[in-house]
Amino acid sequence: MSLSVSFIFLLVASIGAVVADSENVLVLTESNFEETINGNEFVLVKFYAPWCVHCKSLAPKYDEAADLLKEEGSDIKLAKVDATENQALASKFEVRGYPTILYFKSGKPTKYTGGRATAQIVDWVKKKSGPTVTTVESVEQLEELKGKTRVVVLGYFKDAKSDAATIYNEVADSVDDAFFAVAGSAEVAAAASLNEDGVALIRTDGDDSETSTIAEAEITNTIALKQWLHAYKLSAVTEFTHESAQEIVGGDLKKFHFLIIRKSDSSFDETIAKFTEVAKKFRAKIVFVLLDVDVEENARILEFLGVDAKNTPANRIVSLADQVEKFKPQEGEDFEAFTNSYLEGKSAQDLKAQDLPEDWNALPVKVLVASNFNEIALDETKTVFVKFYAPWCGHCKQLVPVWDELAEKYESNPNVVIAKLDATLNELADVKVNSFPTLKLWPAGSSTPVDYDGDRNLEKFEEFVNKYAGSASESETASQDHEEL
Amino acid sequence: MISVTFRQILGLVSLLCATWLYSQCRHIWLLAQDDFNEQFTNFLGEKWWSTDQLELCDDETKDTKWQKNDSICITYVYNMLPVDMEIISWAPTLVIYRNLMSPRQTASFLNFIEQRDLEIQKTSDFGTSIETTHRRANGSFIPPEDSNVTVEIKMQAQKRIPGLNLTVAEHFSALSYLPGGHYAVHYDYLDYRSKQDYDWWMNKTGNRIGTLIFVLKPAEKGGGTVFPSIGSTVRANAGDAFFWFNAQADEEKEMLSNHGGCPIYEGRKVIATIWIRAYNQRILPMAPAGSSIHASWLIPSLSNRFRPEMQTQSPVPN
Repeated sequence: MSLSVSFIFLLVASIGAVVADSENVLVLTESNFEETINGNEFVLVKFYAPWCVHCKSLAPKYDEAADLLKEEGSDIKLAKVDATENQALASKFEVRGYPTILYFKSGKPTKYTGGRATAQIVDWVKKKSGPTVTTVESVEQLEELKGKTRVVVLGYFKDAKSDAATIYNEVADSVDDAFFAVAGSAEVAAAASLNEDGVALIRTDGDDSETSTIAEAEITNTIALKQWLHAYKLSAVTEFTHESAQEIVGGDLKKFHFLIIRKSDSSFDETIAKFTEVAKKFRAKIVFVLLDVDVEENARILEFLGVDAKNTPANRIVSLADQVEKFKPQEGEDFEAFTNSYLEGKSAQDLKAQDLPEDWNALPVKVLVASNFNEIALDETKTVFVKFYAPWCGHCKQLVPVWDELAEKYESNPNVVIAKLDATLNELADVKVNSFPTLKLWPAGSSTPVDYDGDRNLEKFEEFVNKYAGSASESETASQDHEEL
Repeated sequence: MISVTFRQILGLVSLLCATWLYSQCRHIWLLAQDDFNEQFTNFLGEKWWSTDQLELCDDETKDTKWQKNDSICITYVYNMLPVDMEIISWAPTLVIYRNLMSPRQTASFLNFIEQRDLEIQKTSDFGTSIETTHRRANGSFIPPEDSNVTVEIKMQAQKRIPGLNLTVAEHFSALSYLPGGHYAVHYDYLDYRSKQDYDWWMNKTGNRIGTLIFVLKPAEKGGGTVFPSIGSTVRANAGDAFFWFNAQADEEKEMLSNHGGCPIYEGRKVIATIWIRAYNQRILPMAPAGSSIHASWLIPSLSNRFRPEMQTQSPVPN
């Protein structure tokens, strides 16, 4: 009896241990959320679901982090929201997965990007809550920083509340791959080549080390400063390698001027010298990149840029902003003229164009390329149904017999054209193809295509074409009438 | 005495002759398979397959997935690298990465595998490995460091598929299937009776939440990979790789991920598989649990314009 009583006590104690949550984690609901977020400067909020396995494994670490911060007397609060019970809150912050962790600083949310271990949680929130910018008090301290950090960004602002200083602090908050500091004195600023208010970027890269500066007057907004930092974190010309790719492409400058050449080419030294000279003039506007044709892995990038390895040396400008856009220099246009022309919006896009096959019109399915596309698709007398495809795409291959059959059905109808276009070899200024196959129909007399988004089978295709062109059978009827006559 | 000695000698000579004959016959048989494409339509293990599954394997007209509007191919660009991705199924995820390996890499990897001794493969059942007609293949595990080309291929895959953390993956499992070779429909997700049965991988890295198969040499007839619950068979070319999730975001088994290696009728199939474990996979904490992981998680956000109504939440930094 005493044994069974002991067992019951142990069981109760065990259950208690299992269900106990840290009292240092705030429990938020829709009723107290705003009050808590606005009443505390720093709050980390975990949105969870009780059934979620990841949430269960995270919970003890999250609790422990809250306990540690409490012990240290930190102002940072850790909180949690049961998203299944507070769906309006979850919806407001677009919670789509569990756990979702958001960090609120003065009521403003950002995504938690740290790890899931206790120490990682604590370190991350401390870094985000503490001063992002370190004050460098002496030249010796600056030298020490340079010795252990590849990129040191140093701001110097006599007025710590100036517009430029505010922009600098915002950028420091959001950029993770550089060390941000402010000079505590004019002497420290001078050691970083800053003779007036502004920002210096000190890059320590062996022989390629460099200190660059931007004056306060040029710091107009956060985007401009981020782009400047992106540019000067890199050399004037950076070779594209798998190590450098993320740093080249991942920053805020999304415009790239590629020199596409073999480093083994006899003209390489002269060409790279000219390219580098021009690169220095456009440092914070365009990233200048060297692409070695002899590197096998770069073949896919050449293909993407539409450059044949046999036609190198070559250069192209690529914009990776909202869309991927490529630009090609005019005949005889040198690096500098081309860059200026592009920045002034005068360069034409470099669109891929396949040569027109002689037999493009020989079969029921007409072969379109860039050069004959407008002539055929925009013919006012014809309804034109075009399949945009990629040769490597399995779905497109499976569609071939059906498309052939569709074309055969309309072959004798002079008002209907069934066509195909290889979208990996032909790019059109006015038609964006984002996936394969893309099926678009140009009704007779219209320059605006209709997208086909139904099932891909003959019956549905016929239905769709007939909706705009009348039926194939009408053509047959007309033919019969003619025979009777 | 003399009589006993004679019999012993006779037995020994017979054994040696039998061994020699076996090795010669086996060699000839292997040559016949590879050089003469002799048709071999029967395979052990037919009892493991249903009629529907075999029809989906062998009859391409049974696979109508491509007719759906959401069966698309896209090219996304990540760090200036274009990646050709064919989506067989969005949820559960089943995708083919076309031409992920260059022809040189494919040939080099294939050659490397053929230098190794391949053993008859066993299947894992509740942590125990047994030989069975459920699978007929020869294979070997290959740590990536064993050759330059395997290091290169794994690194290349990681750069092009940034949504997956390939550092938490098992060694390459190279598999060679001859005519008659197959792997009956199964899950790659590992089932255990209890945590006490867990092996090193399971304890340290979690379950096989995804499978990435590199195709080095497709069979000439047969040899696709059938997904009965998805209703499709993957027929990949040399140089392609294909991927699916074996688990949902909460690491529970994805019930729709059952698949099989279709019987081979002609030629030989060589693949290299890596099983990706759960630990430190950035997608898992972000994707909704309780339903299939959607393939859009694998597409870096630059490409989310291909279908504007989809809000991609790629775990890849922008």
